[in-house]
Amino acid sequence: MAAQAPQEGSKGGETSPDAVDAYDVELCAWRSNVGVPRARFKPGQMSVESTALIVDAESIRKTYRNGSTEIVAVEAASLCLKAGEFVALTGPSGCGKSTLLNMLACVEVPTAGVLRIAGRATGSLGDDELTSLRRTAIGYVFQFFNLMPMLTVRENVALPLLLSGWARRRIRPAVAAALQAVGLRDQAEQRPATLSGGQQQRAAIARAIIHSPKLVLADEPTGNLDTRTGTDVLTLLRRMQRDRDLTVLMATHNADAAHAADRIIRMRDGKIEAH
Amino acid sequence: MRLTPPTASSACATARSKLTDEVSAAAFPALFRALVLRHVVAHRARTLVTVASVAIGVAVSVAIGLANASAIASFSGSAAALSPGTTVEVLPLGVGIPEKALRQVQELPGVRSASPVVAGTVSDAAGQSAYDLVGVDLIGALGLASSTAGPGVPSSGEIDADTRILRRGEIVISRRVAARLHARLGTPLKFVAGARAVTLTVGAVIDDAALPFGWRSIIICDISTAQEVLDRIGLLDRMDVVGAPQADDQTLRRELARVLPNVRIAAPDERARQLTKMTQAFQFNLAALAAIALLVGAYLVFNAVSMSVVQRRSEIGVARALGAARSTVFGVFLLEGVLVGVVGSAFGLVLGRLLARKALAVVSSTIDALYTTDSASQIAPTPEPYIAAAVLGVAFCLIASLLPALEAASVPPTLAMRIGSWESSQPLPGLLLVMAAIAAFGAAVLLAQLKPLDGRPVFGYASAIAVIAGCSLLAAPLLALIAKVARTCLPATAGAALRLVPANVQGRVRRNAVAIASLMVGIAMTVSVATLIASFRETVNTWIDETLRGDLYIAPAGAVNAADVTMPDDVLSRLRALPQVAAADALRSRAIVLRGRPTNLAASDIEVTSAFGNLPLLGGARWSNVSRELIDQPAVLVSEPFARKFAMATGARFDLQTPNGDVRLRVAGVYRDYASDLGYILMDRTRYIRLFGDRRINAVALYAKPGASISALRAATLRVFGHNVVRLTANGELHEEALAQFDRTFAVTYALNGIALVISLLGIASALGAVVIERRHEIGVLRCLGMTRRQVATMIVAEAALLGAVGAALGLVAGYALAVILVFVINRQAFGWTIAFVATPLYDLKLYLVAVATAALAGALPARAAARLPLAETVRAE
Ligand SMILES: Nc1ncnc2c1ncn2[C@@H]1O[C@H](COP(=O)(O)OP(=O)(O)O)[C@@H](O)[C@H]1O
Ligand SMILES: [Mg+2]
Repeated sequence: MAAQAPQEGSKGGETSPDAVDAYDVELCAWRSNVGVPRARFKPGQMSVESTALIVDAESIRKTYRNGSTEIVAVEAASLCLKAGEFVALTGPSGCGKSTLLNMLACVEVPTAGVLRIAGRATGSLGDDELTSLRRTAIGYVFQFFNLMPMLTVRENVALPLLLSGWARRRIRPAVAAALQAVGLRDQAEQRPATLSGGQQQRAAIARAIIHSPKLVLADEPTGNLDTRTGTDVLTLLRRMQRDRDLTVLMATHNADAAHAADRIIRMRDGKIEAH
Repeated sequence: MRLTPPTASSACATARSKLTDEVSAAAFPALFRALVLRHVVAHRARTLVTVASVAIGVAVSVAIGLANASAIASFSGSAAALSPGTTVEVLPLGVGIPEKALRQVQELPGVRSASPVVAGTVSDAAGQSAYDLVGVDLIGALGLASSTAGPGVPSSGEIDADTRILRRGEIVISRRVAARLHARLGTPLKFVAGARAVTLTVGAVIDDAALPFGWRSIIICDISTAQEVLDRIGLLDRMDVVGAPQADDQTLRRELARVLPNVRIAAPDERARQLTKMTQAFQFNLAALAAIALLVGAYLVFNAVSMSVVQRRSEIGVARALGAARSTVFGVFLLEGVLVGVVGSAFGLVLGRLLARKALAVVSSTIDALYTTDSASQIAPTPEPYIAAAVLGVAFCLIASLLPALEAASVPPTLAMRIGSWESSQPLPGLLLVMAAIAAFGAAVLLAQLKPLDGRPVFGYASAIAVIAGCSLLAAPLLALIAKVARTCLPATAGAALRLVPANVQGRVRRNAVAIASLMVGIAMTVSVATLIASFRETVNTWIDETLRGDLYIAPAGAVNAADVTMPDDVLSRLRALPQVAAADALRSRAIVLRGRPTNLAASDIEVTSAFGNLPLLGGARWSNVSRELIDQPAVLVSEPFARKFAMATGARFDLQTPNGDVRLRVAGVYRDYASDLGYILMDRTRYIRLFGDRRINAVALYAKPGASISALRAATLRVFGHNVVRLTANGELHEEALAQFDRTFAVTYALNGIALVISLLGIASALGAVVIERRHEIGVLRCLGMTRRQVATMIVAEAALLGAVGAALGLVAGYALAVILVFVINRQAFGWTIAFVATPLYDLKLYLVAVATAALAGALPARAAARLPLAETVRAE
């Protein structure tokens, strides 16, 4: 349902229209300078499926104008995320993590550079196409949960499916399963305001994964929680990622959280640092 | 070592609290800037709408207030005694006071001076506009000789009492009247007076400023000229008596009563007071309508300040955490409302002054037509209307911002607050609201039973306000209920955008309730007033159909409805002799005072009236019985408003002052009448002449013989009078004229109604816009989750339309309740009329659709903006 044909909707401005399999993993690793463990990247050893790049960012840059001064939030960042990876994005506050995440979430448009999400170059997409990409391919976990206050937990979790036009009878079991998975079966009919922070973030995680997105982005998901709850939420996120074979990029400045990841990408002053 | 004395610690506490106070006091401007000003500037458009609505409300109040005050000032001015220091006025009970009485009065020891006055109405030759003609003793009384035209006023002549004014047939007019009549010094002017043509020459033109207010549009002449023109030879209409310094009021009155037993002695301001009383119901209703426009404006202020509190909630929390006192926060938001009130009122005062001229034209034309001929054309320089409107405007704004300011003060100190989560975390006290609403409706029913206060339907209006309050209280629970039902009943095929609508409405039920309450008030007012007018018009229409049986009506040219313009009765026999005429009814009607209140005394040929006319009698009385009693016994008929105002039913008796002493009359029956809310006493013409010695008539109703041609009748009648001195009106024309007059009377009501409606539509537009701004963050998150722009727009427009539909529906219900109160309580108390309730379903439906469409449109604009908001900012900002 959520699958996207790689070529669909892609227009000019892209180096190669059917690019996914053509990408050389090594080249990517070199280009992004991310320093993934060499051992896992022996060319030819992996199937095309598993090496499919969910995120392929090439020198993406984001600047903001503040009156006459230009603020560079993200400077020529290149990175790749493979299907099934759990990657942490760390760096001090203000280094550009959220900006990078937002660009990958198609919430913000890079000022320069080429970004491919699930094989689709986003540069040439209009708002409707970006919206559709967000709806089908991306799940987002916010630091402040951002659950809709007027909806119940069940309705909040169902939102992505509702927006995708699922029939009610298909939504119901999917939501029930997701709530079961995050341990909120008993809170399904409550309003977010009546839940604890940890519970709210669990609901937000359920909402982010309900539609089996290709890419889950989490911006400091534990940043607003106490340590123990944060650990619980992190464990949950990690478990969901494994169970559902998700690709996750999580911004955090919590070292413990970062260590739970498959690999870590470090940022400083808007740049991605070498390993 | 001694322990710290208790005084020290308390001193310390005092010092600390004083410090907090000082900090707070110092923080006030900063806090005001941060919490209110920035917000107000950021949301300019909404601020503008709010200020504008207050300004419009205040403007309408000022305009109506000024118009009312000017109309009153105008007729008080013209009714004011001529001689300064007039102690009492002597007024006739019949045709006039014999001229010889003047000498008698002047010779009384307690009298210093007595000035004669003859007053009446003349019309210009075309019969188009009427002027008051006042004859005075120009040598002594007026004191005009000193107030001649100022320098630099060329063609105006000086008043030279000896040479000019004493000449017969000369008049003094103001520059204003001169301009209107295209006259200058020496111009002969043709007038019609009492169905006779007369020519008067301009003997002097004087500066308006030289005349008292209200005297500027009248024609002044010498007493003898006035007597001749107005057919009052040997008679006076009034005497202004100045008492001698040593004589007290009581003694003077006693002396006067001794020499003149059959006159009325009144205080000099009595006529002005009566005129004020006459128009009070009419003016009170206008003022009430204007106040409602202001009330709708207050709803907008409530909305605006609430919005500003909601949107600043986290900042308020931070400010409280940093030490801002509860009272400071409260004051800051109260000040916002007050400032809106002050700025809005300031604009409103200016706008109101500009509108006043227009309002005065409408008000005075209505008052002229209904109550007096005196045309007010100048805005009186009275400060009261401005002060009243400004105070009302600011007070309404203050009250409107009380609740939101309290809400702001109750925000707990906090450094981080999640946006948008607070309202849904507080359950709606639905049951409490419903019970409060029921209590308000109960109060409305009770208030509707109470009697009017000093002739004013104060409790009727209070009842109307209770209905509005009840419906406002119902808005939130009703909205919650509808949202709940919609949530479960929405068809599965509805898209995601529509499916979110009920939840969104429910999630902000209070905010939305305020928005729809202001729409509700506007719709309710419009529907109810439209229903009242339609009911009234239909009733009057039926009544005219029933009662207007004459084929041709004759009145002297220039006779405005209620003005006492008469003609001599010698025409009657000639009219009756015409071959086409079956019968002619002579109609006489004049204003009198009964038990200190103004009313009308009318006389007709009861023989003719009962045979040819058709005055509908109430309570099953029969004309055959009543007419005999009216002719043979001292009995009268009274109109319904009279019966209600003087609390007299059939069989009641009352004393009427006549030149021949008091006469006891019996009420033989009550008839339905909509001609005057002051009421009528109707008696047989023969009895009237015998009691009052007054043979003049105001109009003649001619009944044609079967088969006679009306045009032939018209031609024959004109031959009796000669041209241009009478106005002939055929039955159908009179019917149309009456309805046209009706519509003119209610034009101002319609206009006020429209203004209130526009304000309330603006209100829902700005409220909906504000809700969208408030939801930016939420919309951003939805967009992040994959909601398209179109879906966002659909959702918001659907929400707006739903709110509009519920608000307008509530408005219709409230409107019908108000209409019942207006028709059966307020109207009956203010005017004394029985009106049949006539609903206007088509108009109401149109109004409903307009309201829903406006709401949807009001949602559409911010929806577009919301869909285009930069996403990152909305999800990032916390
Ligand atoms: N809308 C914006 N306008 C201007 N500057 C911005 C905006 N958003 C972010 N920035 C700036 O970009 C930089 C990176 O911010 P962000 O991505 O939020 O960092 P992080 O998430 O790592 O704390 C910061 O210096 C921030 O001030
Ligand atoms: Mg961040």
